[in-house]
Amino acid sequence: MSNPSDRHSPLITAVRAALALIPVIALLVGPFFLNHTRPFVLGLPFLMFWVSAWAVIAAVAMGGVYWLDPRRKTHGKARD
Amino acid sequence: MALTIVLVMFALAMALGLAARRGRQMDLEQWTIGRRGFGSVLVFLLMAGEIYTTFTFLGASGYSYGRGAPAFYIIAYGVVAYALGYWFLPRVWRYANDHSLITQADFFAHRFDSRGLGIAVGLIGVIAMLPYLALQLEGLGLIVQITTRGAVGSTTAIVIGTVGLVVYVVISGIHASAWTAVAKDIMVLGLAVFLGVYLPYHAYGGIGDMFRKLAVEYPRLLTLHDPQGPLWFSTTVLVSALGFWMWPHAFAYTFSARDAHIFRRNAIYLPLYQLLLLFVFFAGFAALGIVPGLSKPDLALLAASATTLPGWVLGLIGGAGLLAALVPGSLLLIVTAALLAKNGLALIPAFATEQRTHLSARILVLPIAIGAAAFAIFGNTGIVGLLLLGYSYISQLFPALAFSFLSRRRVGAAAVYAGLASGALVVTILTLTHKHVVTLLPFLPHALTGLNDGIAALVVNVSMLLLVHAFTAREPTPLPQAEG
Repeated sequence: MSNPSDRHSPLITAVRAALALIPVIALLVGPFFLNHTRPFVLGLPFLMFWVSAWAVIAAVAMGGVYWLDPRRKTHGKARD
Repeated sequence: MALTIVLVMFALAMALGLAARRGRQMDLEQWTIGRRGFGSVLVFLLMAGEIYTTFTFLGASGYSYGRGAPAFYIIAYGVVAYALGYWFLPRVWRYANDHSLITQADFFAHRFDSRGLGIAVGLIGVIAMLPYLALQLEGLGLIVQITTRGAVGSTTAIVIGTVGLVVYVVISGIHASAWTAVAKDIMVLGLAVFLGVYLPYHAYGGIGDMFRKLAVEYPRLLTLHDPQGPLWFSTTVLVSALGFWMWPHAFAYTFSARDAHIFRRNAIYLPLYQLLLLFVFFAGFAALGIVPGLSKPDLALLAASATTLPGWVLGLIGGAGLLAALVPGSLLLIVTAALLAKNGLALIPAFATEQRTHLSARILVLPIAIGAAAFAIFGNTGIVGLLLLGYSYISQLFPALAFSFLSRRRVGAAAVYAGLASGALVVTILTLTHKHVVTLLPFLPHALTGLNDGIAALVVNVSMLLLVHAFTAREPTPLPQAEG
């Protein structure tokens, strides 16, 4: 972590892009295939559960994107 | 009882808004964007204030009551918008910070080096925001009237609310919005969770039981069907997410941030906050079992509450509704006034000094507020149509913004004009003829039913932008005649 440049590796960038994109794709594409009322999960009809679950996963994924962000270490009036 | 509580909440909001001014030297930058000094919490609340407005409170519950599953798009588009915001809000913020920009029109004018584009963008912004402001006031009137059981009429509530709004906006600017946002979110969230649990329990014996019974009673309610099928869902989520950040007041709270990390951190918490809308949906669905068959679905939450809850709880709902209108309403008012003053009036030399621009912005608050209130009282049905039109116009700004960051070669103002104008033209035609892309162009396959019209307009917009860009980008190389 002491060397911020290793965080700029293409692999890290790809992982961050994937983390941000997967929930978006799940929300945009999922309803075409999962447009069901059943099974009920946690009491919710399935489509409602799907959308809600991805909101939670998106929060975790964006946490990962931020954690891996090479600019995260800059403090104060960060200029980016 | 309800009336007392609503009045106390109103007084509290006023006190908070006026106290927010203390110890601050006001200039236009301070008044409009808090001199770029807001931390994570305030920026978060201003962003989230956008989600929990009266329009969402009444509209989201009304949508689930009236249409069912299509309402879920509201949660989905927020999640997509925040993921998008992580990447481009820091860039917008940095650019505005480096060049001391205050309004959205400033941003476009500076970025594309075209004062004319600034005027055009400012005009689109004002046209889009006025109906939005009117709708907030109309919602405020409805909420206060129903929760006080008619003790305060809708018109009276709109007039009093507008007067309060003007006073605290003129005095404290965006600081008033930020301080009231704290009180508002505590109230609105507390009540949303309470209603989302209590109403299903009261009507169906629980949330799980409610959905099991609704699935039998209304077999199509909890899934998507044409014309609001999966394609409608997906394209509407996309267009709404792109449009979300294009509102002029979205630029204002972006500019108000202290540093760029605020947007990255907020992108983590906002999806979870968005999830609280589930409780608003629960309340809307439960209303089907309490007050079925309402002709105005937007009244579902209020009608269900009025039949099942005592007066003091209704008073709290009325107070929360009041705050939910005042916070976004104040922001809309500030930003509209700033746009008109800075990107309109200030072009006239006599108004060009920073001091006069600031003064004219604060004076303009009054006529704008009166106009919006009149619209809310007399406009009736036209407002939602205008709002949708405004929303479609606003989202046409997205390609210009995206290209200004993506392409290495600068996209010129001419290309942006072409894209904006053609996109807006498509939107206007579709709206005025009350047609959709698929009905207007019958050769398109039936499978495209439900395709969001904004997508069509954006496709035209981007094509025109690229076309004109391709032509104008050649200009710097000398023309053959010039060589000869």
